[in-house]
Amino acid sequence: MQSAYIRLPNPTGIVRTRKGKTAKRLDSLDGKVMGVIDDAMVNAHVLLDALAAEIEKNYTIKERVSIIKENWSASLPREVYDDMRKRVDFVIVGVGVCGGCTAGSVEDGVQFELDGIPSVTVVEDLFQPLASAKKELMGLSEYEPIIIAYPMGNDEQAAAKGRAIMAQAVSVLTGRVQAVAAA
Amino acid sequence: MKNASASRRAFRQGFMSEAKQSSLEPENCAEVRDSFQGALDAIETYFERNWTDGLPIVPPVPELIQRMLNAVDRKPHEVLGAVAPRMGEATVEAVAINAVMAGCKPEYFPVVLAAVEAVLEPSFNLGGVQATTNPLAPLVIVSDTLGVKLGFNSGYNCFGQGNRANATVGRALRLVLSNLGGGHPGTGDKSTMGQPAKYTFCVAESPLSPWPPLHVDQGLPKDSDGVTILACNYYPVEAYNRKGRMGREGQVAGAGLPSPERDDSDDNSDVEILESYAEAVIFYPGTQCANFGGQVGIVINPHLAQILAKQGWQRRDIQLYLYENARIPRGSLPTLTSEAKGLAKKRWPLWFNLADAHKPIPLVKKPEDYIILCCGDAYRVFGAVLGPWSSLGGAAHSKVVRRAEDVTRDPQES
Repeated sequence: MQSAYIRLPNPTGIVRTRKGKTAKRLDSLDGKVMGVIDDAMVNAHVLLDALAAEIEKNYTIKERVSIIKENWSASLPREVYDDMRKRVDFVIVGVGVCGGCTAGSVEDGVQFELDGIPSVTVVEDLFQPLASAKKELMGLSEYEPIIIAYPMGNDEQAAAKGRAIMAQAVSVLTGRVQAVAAA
Repeated sequence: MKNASASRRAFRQGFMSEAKQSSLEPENCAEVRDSFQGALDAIETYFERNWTDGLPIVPPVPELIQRMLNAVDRKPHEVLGAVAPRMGEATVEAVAINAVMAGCKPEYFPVVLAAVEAVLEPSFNLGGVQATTNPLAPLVIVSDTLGVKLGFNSGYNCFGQGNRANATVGRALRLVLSNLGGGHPGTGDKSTMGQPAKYTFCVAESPLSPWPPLHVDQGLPKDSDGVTILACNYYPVEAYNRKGRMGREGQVAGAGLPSPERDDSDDNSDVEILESYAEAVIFYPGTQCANFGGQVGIVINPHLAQILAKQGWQRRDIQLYLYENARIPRGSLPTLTSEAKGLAKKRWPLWFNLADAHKPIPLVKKPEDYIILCCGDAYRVFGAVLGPWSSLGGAAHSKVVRRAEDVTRDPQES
């Protein structure tokens, strides 16, 4: 006699996620080497430069190491990533203003965290769902990208956005709410 | 029970327990009544769980999945790779489930499997292809002989509706990208506009093509069946002779079509066909190419392809022609983002950057970035240009299609 019920499979398959930990937060940014990973999107360099400059204004940054990604829609090539990882104490990554670049930037930011280097990833609000999905898939659901409002805007507006998120970025990197006001 | 509860939770979320190797394990399955009403319930259940492309699916009952698996000589739990951005494991079985849901016949399954393997090549950058704001979709191109054997449409309306093989193989790949890869609108797929080809996008090469199949052109064995994947957007082209024979009257009357039978040695219909394509490349994906690079598909119908071939045009000649003639002035290259930072020097050959503003520069890095495909109706003048996403991914990747019966016949396997 035929079974009264039939089993139908879940078509979404297995996702093998590893449960990772965020990096140990920094006591201070003073004396640290700052990495800046520019995904080459429109005005990303303006925003990141303003953010980095603001950090430098408030902290004694030992050195700034900047790179521009050749493929914004993917994570950094292994050798570039490894080189950066050896040279920096923390990184700022961005800006996620499209699908591919958001996925690529979040992947970079999360990977640095998993490898013990605190990171800040800047993402436009429209791409927050993708950023959230990406960090969770990489096993780091507690990672919080800094979300900026669409649109990033012209040079002046992008720079203002970069300056405005400085305190938030420092909070993410140190794990402490910052009283430092953006200039 | 705690474990059962955890499994149910994982099931609801679309994530299966790592301990379970099969999608057919009871904990990972939905149960419906084994009846006509049960089949309707199953269709609704898959809608509710966001496991479809927005269209009803064929309920993937174990018997149908097994028929798919029987069509290939592969182990069900063999992992082809993880489908970005969600990174769902594409096991042979998981792909088979989605192929059933898409409505594939078992004999199509080796084609689906090869297509999935092609998009999983790291250099295809599936994560970017899926997540990009560009509306592109991966096109599945089935080689001519296999296409004929399995009943794919390579003729009239070959990019359109009406053929089960084309429709369901393209849909199966889309379901894999959505279900395993998480390519859902707004999360894993951030396409600004999307396009209809995101439901299904599959075509076969014409058996009337004067040129070798694409996968052979890409370096795979001549005696193999193959699939080629290219992530792209579709733009129609009307390739016509502007010197009278293909004028407005000629088209309406169906007269004056350039003919491979006619002695065309004293005219230049071949060049005029190619001029049409060169203009279309500049007009349609030109800006995208200039901004971001990538490969461009050139779809030529068998009629025009035979005219070209008769006058000596091989794929390589067409690629070189388009490389030389589909050009824009260097000065019209946008100076956005990367260009402003000198990244163009890395993306384009150095001479592009040394050229002055008026110097015409090609829209692709190298002639081979034109992917020449022959399909469509053999008696008219329409063709298509397949615009790229970028040099960041989505380029043509070919895979050999291996059916269970091929493996059985292969003496080396016995």
